[in-house]
Amino acid sequence: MPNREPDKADVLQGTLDLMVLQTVAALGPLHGYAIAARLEQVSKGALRLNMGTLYPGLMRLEQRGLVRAAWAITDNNRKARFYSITAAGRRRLAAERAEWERMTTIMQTLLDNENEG
Amino acid sequence: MTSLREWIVRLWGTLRPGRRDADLEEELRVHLEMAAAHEAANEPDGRRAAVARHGAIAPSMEALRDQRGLPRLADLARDTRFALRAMRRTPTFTAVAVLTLALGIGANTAIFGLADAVVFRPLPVDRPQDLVVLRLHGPRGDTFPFTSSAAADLASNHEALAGLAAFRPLPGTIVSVTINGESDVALAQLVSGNYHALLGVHALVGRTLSEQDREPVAVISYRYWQRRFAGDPNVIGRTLEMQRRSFTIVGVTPPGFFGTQPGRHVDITAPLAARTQAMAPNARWLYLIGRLRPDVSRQQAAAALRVRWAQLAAGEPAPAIARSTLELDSGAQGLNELGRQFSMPLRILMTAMAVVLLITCANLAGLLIARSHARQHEIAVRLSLGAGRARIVRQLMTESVLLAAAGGLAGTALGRVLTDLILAMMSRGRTAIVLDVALDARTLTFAAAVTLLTALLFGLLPAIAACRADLPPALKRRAPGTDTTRHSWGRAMVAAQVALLVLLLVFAGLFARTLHKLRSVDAGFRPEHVLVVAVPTGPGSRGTAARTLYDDLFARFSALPGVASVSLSMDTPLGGELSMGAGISIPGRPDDAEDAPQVYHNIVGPRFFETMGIPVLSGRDFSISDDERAPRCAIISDSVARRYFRGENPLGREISFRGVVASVIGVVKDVRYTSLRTDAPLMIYRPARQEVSAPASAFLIRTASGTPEALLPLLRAEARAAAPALPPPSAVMLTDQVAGSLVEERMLATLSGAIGVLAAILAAIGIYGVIAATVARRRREIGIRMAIGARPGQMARTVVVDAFTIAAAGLVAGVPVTIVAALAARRLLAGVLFELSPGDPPVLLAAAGAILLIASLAAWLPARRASRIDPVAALKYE
Repeated sequence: MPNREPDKADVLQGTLDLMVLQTVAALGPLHGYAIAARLEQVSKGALRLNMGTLYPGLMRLEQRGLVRAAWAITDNNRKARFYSITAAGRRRLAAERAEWERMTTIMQTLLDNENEG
Repeated sequence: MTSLREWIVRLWGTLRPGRRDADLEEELRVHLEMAAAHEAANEPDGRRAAVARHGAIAPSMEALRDQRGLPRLADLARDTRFALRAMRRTPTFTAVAVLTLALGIGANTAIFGLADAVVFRPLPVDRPQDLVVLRLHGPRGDTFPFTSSAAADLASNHEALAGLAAFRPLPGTIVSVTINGESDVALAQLVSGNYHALLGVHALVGRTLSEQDREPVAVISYRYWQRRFAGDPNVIGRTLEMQRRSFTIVGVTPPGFFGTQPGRHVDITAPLAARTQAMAPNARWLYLIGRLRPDVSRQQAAAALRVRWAQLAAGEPAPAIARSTLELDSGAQGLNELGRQFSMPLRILMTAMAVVLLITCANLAGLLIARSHARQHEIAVRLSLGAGRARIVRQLMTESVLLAAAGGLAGTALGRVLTDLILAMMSRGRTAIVLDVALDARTLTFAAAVTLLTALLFGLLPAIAACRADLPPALKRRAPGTDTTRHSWGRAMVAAQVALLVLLLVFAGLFARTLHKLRSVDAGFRPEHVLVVAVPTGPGSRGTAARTLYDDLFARFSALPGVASVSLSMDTPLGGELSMGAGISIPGRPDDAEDAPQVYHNIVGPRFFETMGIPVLSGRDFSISDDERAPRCAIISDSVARRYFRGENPLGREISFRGVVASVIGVVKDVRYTSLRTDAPLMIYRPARQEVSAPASAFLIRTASGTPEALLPLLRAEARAAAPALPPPSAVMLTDQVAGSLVEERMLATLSGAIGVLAAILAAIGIYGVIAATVARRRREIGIRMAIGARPGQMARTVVVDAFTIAAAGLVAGVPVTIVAALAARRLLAGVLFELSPGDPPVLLAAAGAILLIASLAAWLPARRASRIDPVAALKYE
């Protein structure tokens, strides 16, 4: 529900949301496997998403109106469900990015000070 | 906002899945195919590697389903469906459980609703917590109303109170009202101009009374408006005739407002300033209600007013008034005489009902524990498949909550009926009590809370116990009868019920015995065959007009057939009022010291003592010839004779009372005038004819045999003939009036008895359940015993002894419980019990005996069944 303090699972989910939104916003409509492959590739193998984590996350984004999905044909003539970002999703992505960068800057400053101190 | 959207979508998803399972599965399969194709480059079995890396379809589908709907809600829905099915499968159990709960919850709600209306609920006015009621407390504990001048004086003090209003229900309480020629009776009151303003009551239609009203105007209640005027919107300006005067209706108060006395719903409110008869200046007739100032506390206001009252009281002739103190009581419930009277019995009954509810919970818990034995296998399977214990407990609790909810609904409906019954009981021997006991938010909240609490109490323990069993033995289907722990829980539940039952039976016995003792008290008169007839003569009507009327009626009534004797009396015994006078002094003797005992007086007609059946110990009764021309005489009670004329013969001696010197012509037996509990007061009687003004009196009519009630139509006819303008007289049997003085005791005895019976039935059911289950469980054992030679009678005896053991355990446990309760309530009990100690041996023995009887009755059927067991069939039973 809105206005609740996020707990640990929510934070992890929130991070996943950000990654998926970024991927889909940058690369256009992608199906689930492509999203997972892309994230694995970018993280050099560190991020391996289980189907049981990825697809509920995608469903969540869909339920929140941040992405929309539709069945379409892939290059290999396979039928797959493609996810694309919505306007609301773009707004959310921008906000999350800003927040993320803010946090990173604070952490960086803190750690630098620690090293110097 | 997006998460709200998500929640709504998921909520909808529990009812109607947004995406079908097939659709989801296909998406997952596509993913795995692509992954397998990718893996096939490195692995021989691409498919297996894909599943290893990306997960299998089944668990992913589970995760998706959880995201699609709201899992908690879906669980709840599933639990409810499951519980309903389980309830339908065992209809008898469900019916018994729901009925038991309905009785327990319903009775609790009824008593609470009544207690709320009588004792707790504040008046439906503006900020009732700021209201105060002014009372004058006399030295003997009586309370008095105020005179007009005292009321006006106190009202003028604006420092202490924000405002003070006076009100007075019209004498005789019920007045005859004529509207468009049709006569009916209604409750009316006279109020000061600021009454409605002080209370913060605004008119629904028209206006409320104001200080400027001097004309005969009236404000009617919503109920009266609906009843007599059918809610006519043009009621303003119509007239009603009351006490031979015409009143113009100027307003209607909102629904819910009934005046300032709980139990009396006032229909017509008129201004004091418009009354026809002037009250004597020293007539005490006004009740006062005020509103506190925001900056002044109740204690401060009381202190200020007390000072003023002390000044006013200094000029009072009657010593009782002069020595009375002014108190400010909370007015949140108005002038709540009803609450005062019934507060304690209702509280006691509420406590008893709570105990019954505990018994009900213990009963149901025992039943559920016994039943869970049959489901042990099912639960064990579910546990072994990975269900969490909390999950299973939640599901079992859903069943309990559903049972409780069904019981609660049925009980609330039942509670309405019970409330009406109890109200009727409270109203006997007096004007009907009118209370708004419709279901309101408070009562419904109470019912819901009680229902939930009950469900928790009886459902949690069995649910937890059901999950604690060891898995391996439960998974195998064994011959029943191995889990001894659960069976001792069931027996402990029943023993607990018996312990609580002891408490209830002892208290019911004490109340019943108190009532019996009070009924057997010799009140000093014989009430049978006597009718008390009140003839309303109009407010403040004294003097020759009233006297002539009384003489006329006296002659007429005496001439009626079947009448043995007729008399008059200002106050009748146990009628609620008794007039007091100053002390008695004997001329020629020094006056009594300051602490002279209070002497009460009654002004009566000829043959009073004969009509009332009061024995004349010496001298004679009043007769017709004791009138204004005869020498002044008086009759004294036995206690007066003994106190003032120790040893000497009082007859012929002179006595001075209220400024009158009279000679004593008779001594009569003491009469318990005010209450059957308290000793008879010192009484002096004066003949009505020798009094300066004839006080309002009631006629007493004794018939030779049969019921004087049959005379009522004739009496009314005579009254109408003598005074056609006056409303018809009201009559009550003296026996009913006496019974009416015992209404709290009667209510306590009857209701606590009913509660005891209810609890006994519950406990009996509990004992039966446990014993029957034991017999069923031990069929093989009994069969073996009988096969090797035990006789059926012995087996039956074993069963009965078993039942006795449980009952005895309960008895033993119940003793300390009862002692603790009696000690905690000893002040309460001291006020209620009459010549009885809480440890009264006959009551305790009767309670113990009743319990043993209940146990043997409950065990009868199972014992019979045990004795009839066929050893051969039992040994084959697996």
